[in-house]
Amino acid sequence: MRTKRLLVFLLIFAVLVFMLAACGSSEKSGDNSTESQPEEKVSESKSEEVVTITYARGKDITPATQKMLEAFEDKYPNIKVNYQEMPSQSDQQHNAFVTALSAGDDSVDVYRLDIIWPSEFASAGWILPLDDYFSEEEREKFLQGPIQGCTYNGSIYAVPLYTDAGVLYYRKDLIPNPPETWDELYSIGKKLMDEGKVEYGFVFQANQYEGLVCNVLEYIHSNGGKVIDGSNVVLNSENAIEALNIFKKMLDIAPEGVTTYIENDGGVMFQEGKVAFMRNWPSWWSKLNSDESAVKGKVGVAPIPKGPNGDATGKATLGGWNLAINKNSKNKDAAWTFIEFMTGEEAQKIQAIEGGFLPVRQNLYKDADVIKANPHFESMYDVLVNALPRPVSPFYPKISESIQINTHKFLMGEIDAKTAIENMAKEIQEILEQ
Amino acid sequence: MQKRRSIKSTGIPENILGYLMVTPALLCILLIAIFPIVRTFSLSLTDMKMQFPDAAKYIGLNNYVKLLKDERFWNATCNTLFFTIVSVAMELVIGFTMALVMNMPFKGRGLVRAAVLVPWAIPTTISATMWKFMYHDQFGVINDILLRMGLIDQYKPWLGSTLSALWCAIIADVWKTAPFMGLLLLAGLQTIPIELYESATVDGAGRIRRFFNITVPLIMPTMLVALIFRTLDAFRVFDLIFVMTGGGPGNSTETLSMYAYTMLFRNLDFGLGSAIAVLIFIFVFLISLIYIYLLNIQND
Repeated sequence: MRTKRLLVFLLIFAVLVFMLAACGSSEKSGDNSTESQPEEKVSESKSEEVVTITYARGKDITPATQKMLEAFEDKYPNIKVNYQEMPSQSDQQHNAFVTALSAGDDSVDVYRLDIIWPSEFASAGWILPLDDYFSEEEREKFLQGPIQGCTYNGSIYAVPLYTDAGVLYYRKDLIPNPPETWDELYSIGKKLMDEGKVEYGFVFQANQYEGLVCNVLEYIHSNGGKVIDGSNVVLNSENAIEALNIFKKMLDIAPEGVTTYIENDGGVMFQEGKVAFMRNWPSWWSKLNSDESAVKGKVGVAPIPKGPNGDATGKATLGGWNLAINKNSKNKDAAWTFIEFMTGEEAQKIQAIEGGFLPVRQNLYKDADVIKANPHFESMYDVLVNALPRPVSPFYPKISESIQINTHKFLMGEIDAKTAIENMAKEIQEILEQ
Repeated sequence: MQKRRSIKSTGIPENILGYLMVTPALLCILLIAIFPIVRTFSLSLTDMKMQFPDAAKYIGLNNYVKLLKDERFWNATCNTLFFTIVSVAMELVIGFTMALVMNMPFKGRGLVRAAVLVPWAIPTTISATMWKFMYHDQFGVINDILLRMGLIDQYKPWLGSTLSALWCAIIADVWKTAPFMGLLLLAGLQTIPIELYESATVDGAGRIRRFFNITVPLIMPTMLVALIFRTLDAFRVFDLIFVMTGGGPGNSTETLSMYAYTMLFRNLDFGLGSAIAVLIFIFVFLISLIYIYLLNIQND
């Protein structure tokens, strides 16, 4: 009797488990039949054959990607795009791509790469050099920071799709003039907190992940520090140590949990009107000014503040995404047609107007339609020109990891600023020498 | 009859035929179990990096020497051991209690047995995300409950402190896997003949005496099997911590599998990553040996 019951019980359970397993695998829609004719020449003329290319990018929370793809398929009816959505965290996309590419996978033709990956993917031989497709003349029409990030050993491996740089959002209704230095930011934030006008002075991204590197480098770069100069590690300096201490001071006016925050956590709090300042990416502008935002129309954008030993302006960390072609792709020409369109003026305008993404083409910062939809873009141009990239190296993930772990240990109070900087400098030196 | 004759007609001696017939299975095992282990081991003796796959060369045991001197490796080992021991011990106690309750006759027992298993049926990544929300420092339900009970005076970032983050992961793991332990132990309890308890009662043994002299020794083999499953599982913990903390804060929750994964698939350092994987294999192998030894003692 008892055993019978247990048996029934186990049976039900097995069915449940089976159902869960079935749910897991049903997402694959089996649309990988890339109909490619041998040695196809995608003549723009009446090629009867329809080519399907697969484009992988992280989730786009705006309608921009969808609209760009529609515009592309209207213009090139003989190329169909299979859009493969990836998780939104950059690290997770990296690991998924790396796993596929290192196994010689050819199911994806066009990858969207974070600005820190091209040198790694290029040195591993996973992506196609684009020198033949992407002329030097054409490259000059782009912002130069992103072009640098896509160049490895003198060859260009990716085309910038949109760019990004850290900015300071502030509550224009509470703060008449945005702060120019970190000290000013701290005292304004503290004052507003003490007066009870906001719950917290400042939010940023201090979880142990890639975003922490972007944040801490802004303090270091804005205080006259530098990580790598040529092939030498020059991180170990008084300026860098001072910068780290300024960073830690900001924890006083931030929520206690900020060391677990990524972009979205702080963004939501700022949107609810709980915070005076926020360091985030420009793409948050449209969300902060949407109808569900409590701070709609009360948000200002300013450059990142500077430290006591920095240059005239603060230095934002350059982000941004780029398109590259899988070396094993069976539809390289179609893939290039796609990239050319996506980074061309027409698509870039759609992307800026529908999604608020920063265009990669210089002339669009003077384009009336773009500026009308994004009035803050005009001032962004200077921020972008001043923004500094993260260290460019095929071993960037290891460098990033060293910065993440040591910075986070420092913020948690396990080591002091001097030790953190010394550890990073030593580890990065070892990484570059290997 | 027909079949036996055809075997004989091949003229192959029976024992060789036997080997022939298990060969496909052996080949399968060789391909999917032995080959990856050997391949991982041989990779761990090189400095293979995916960024420059052609520059890889044999470097002997250097990766292992490097790891033994590596503070991060020992930190990950300690975290893994701490996580394994504490979570498995808690699961054993809670699971055993659950099993004892579920084994008692009461109304709605079937429903309770089913309900208890719900946490185990939820995929780990989903339950990890759920716990992450519950621990959140701004809108987490755990902060809300503790604050209402007066145990804390303000919301705390549970996953943001080196003191509490690993404990948070352990609690989430115990919540998820104690039911599994409970179910296995319940199956063990049901094999104990009721007559034993009856005669013990007649002989005047009390409740506690019956528990320690009948239940515990008779359930021991089942318990050891359940413990093997859970210990090995807990030792390889990955998804739960990956989702909840990503190894932070300050690397205080990084486990061995996460370290191996990071080295292999984030840093593309296949040599060092494989060496960590081999060490995990050795640890797991040792743990299994200890359990098998204990099981053998039981059987004698």
